[in-house]
Amino acid sequence: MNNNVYILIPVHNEESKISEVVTGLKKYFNNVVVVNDGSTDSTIDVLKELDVIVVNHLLNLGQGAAISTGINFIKTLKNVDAVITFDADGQHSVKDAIAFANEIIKCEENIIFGSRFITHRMNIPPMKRRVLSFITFVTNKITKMNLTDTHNGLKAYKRNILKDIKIEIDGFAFESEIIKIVSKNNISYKELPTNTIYTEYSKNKGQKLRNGLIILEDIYKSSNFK
Amino acid sequence: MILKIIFICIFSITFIYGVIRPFSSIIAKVFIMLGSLLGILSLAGEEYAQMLAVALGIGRGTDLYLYLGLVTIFLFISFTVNRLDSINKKISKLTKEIALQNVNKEKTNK
Repeated sequence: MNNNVYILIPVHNEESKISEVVTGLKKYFNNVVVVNDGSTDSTIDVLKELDVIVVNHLLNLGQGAAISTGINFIKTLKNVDAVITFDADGQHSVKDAIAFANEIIKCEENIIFGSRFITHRMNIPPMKRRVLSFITFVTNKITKMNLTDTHNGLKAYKRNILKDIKIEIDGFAFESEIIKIVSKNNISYKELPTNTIYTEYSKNKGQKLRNGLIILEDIYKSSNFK
Repeated sequence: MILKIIFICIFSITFIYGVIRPFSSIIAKVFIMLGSLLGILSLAGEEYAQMLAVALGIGRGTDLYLYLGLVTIFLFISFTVNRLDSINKKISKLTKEIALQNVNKEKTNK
């Protein structure tokens, strides 16, 4: 059981899935923080029944804002060694989260990025693969990084770098902003393979391909941040 | 004729309002004052509007108003989008603050 590795889950309208995701994680992680991002379904009621720490956004702001609030909350806690961000739609595997937790504790790097492109590339639907590759290419160019997957929600952060993670973008492109912060502050990083589980539910709930345009727009805006 | 007088009155009041009211943006102040002056000019003396259009190389007075109308719309949209962006940021900050203040920390690993 990991006591000092916190799991952070941003959630929006996941009443049917969140219980299963949290139950799977709670077998291995003692501390699970769920940021309810202004859900309009019964997600908040489901969360109240679960053994998790709930942070509640009264309005829906976006995934970036939920991660930002969650990180700011965890920063205030004692006995935290690391944080792992995990998606609420069931796309991420608990096995990967355990691997990330073990690795972030023992490795020298301060942040671990999950990558769908290292060993499970063919699991990604073809069109999504192309869009993700393009966004990764643009993000790498802007941030001068060399990542294989820039928009994977599964990440691990050591406690000591949480102070540097100041997310300004509320939407999907916060992932690019984090990469920019890592690049700008010379934070050491590595990638680990993840196996994303694409079900019909997660495909419907996950990012739509046209959101790629919003991500590119946000990346452009974030490139103007000081 | 009555309509013409009503509109001249409206533009005159707008002009005075622009002069008296303190604005946070000088651009908005100048924009309201110039817009209302042009409105008065177009109603009181069409020939002056025509002369101005010729002097600016536009040709016709009506085209001058068309161009000015388009510029106004674009400026308005641009200002509104910026304003909405700024309000969104404030709402976002407030929502995050409220969320953090209301967390029940009892379940954390102390």
